[in-house]
Amino acid sequence: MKIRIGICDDEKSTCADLEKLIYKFFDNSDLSADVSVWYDGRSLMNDLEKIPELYLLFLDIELPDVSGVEIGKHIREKLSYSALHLVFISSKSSYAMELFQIHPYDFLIKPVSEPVLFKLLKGLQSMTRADNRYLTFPSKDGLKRVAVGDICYAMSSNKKVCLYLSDDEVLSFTGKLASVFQSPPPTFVNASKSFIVNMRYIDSCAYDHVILRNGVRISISQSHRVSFRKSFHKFIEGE
Amino acid sequence: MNYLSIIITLLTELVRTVITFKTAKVFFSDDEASPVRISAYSFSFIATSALYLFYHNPILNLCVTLLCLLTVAFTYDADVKRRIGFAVIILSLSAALDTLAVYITGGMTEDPLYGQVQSVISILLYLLAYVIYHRISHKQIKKSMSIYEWLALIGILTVSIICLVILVFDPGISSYTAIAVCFALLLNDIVVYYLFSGLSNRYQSERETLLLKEQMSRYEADLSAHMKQEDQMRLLQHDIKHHLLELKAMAETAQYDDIADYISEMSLQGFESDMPVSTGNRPVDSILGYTIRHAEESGVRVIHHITIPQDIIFPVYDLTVILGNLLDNAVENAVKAKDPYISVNMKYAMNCLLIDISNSYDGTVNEVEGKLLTTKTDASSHGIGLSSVRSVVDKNHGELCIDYDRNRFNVKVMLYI
Repeated sequence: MKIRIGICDDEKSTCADLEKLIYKFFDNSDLSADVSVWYDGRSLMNDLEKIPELYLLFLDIELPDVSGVEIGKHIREKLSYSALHLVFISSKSSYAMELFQIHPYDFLIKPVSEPVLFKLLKGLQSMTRADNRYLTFPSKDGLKRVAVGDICYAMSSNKKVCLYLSDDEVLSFTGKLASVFQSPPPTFVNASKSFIVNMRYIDSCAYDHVILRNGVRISISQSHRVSFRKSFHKFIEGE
Repeated sequence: MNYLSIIITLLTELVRTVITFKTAKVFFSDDEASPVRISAYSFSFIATSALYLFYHNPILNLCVTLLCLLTVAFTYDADVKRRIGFAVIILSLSAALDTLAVYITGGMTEDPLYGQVQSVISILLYLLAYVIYHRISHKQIKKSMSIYEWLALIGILTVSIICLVILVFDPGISSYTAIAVCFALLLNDIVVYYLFSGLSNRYQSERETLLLKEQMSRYEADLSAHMKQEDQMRLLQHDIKHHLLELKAMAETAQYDDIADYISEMSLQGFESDMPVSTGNRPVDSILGYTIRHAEESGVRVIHHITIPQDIIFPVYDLTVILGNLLDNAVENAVKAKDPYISVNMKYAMNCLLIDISNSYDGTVNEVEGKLLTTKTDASSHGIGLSSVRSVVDKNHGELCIDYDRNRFNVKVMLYI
């Protein structure tokens, strides 16, 4: 299986080093990588619309023509590539809040060292494996399945369960939330008896509610607050 | 007599409800007063008061009290066993203290006056039990009042109880006097308790202010280091023009080796930050800078990975208490280890701040009832370190996790911003 990785930095040496390290990492892995490089923001933005979706993008924050923030926002909003993993690379260690609102996977400081990069790639690999698991649910035409990574949240009411997907599609079927999510995937957590949330799609979290990236606000019931917090803590720690 | 009697009953039940709330706060580590919880406690108060005023059936009392306690317990987020355990413990304690009150006043009685006095004695015993429990469970942490001051409070309560017992055994006393004295003593004890509590809180905040002052001196130390770096920056800028002219001359005569040598020799001091961490966030940079310098001077290795926004909005005081205390503890313990190191990770995502601090140590941890005691010699001021962190984390509805094995001690904090 091929993983498409992109690098965008105006410093050619950074791109070359990073590319070399990435290929080195995937030499010892059962997956293979396909790395594309851009030296400026404009060409990256133009190409993003045409090429099939990237899995991971290393993006320089200090690009001369378009800022990393703008590209990040464009990716998340216009192109709705919420599943694309973004890693910001920078020569500084101070970051503006707006960078965090793009939900990057991590920040790397130049020059990128091998141990740091490998640790990041390893973490990403296990997260992807979890996302590629499937959830089966009953429907009129028999058992159907959906990739766990595509589900934003699930809601149950009146014996019906609705799965809200990242592309705004909604799948509904009769059943109980508990039976469908018998062994919930690691990124899923109960916000209340009738809501289960995929933490990957959270935009902001407070002790009594979460707001998802598509703007939906879900309250956390009092009896679930402590357990939600614990699961969320584990989740951001692991990410 | 009737009105005062009713007031005493209501006051007694109110005190009982409040003590139950305070005990639950310690038991469940949760002091949130949500509408649901307030209704549960109000229901409990009304039910037990009404029951006492209109019916005098002890069995019914017991059942209703248990029901009320369970209702209240279920507004707390904990596993079922713990919640039921709480209700049963409180009920058993109340029943035991009631029995004790009856026993020391000469047995069960049909006389409502004696019954009243007995119930007041019982509630004072309950208050006494709470005061002792509170002191024991917070011994290392709330050392704001000395043992003598606590004993004084306990003494006052005990004297009131003895007074009431004497009252019961005096046959010549008029019922009006008895009720009046009962009411006066009860009110007195409640007032004294709140007075004591207020003083205790005041001392606590004074000590926290002291902590803040210590932090201020850390800032000052760091500021002077920062200013030194700025001076070096200025020197470099001043010299750059001179350096560039030299390099230009060398380039024109293609002296490439000389250029390379010249650049190596050039002092790059202005470019190397004297501040080990610069996230742009003043308190964080300051505390971490100070800690890293202090750690390295003591031979402790520091590994850090900090990715937080420079413009994060979080009360500086709270952040200072958490980071300052955790880092101090980490370094102090790491120094004693065979391979001294601390690792600091701070991450921000989805409106949450994650702080993860690990350190090596010599394997000795003192733990009492799930609350860590300090290994530091100055127990009274340093034992409050971790508990200050805990209270700031709780205040922000955050999460604190402590985990350790023989070689590594780890504390994780998650805060909602």
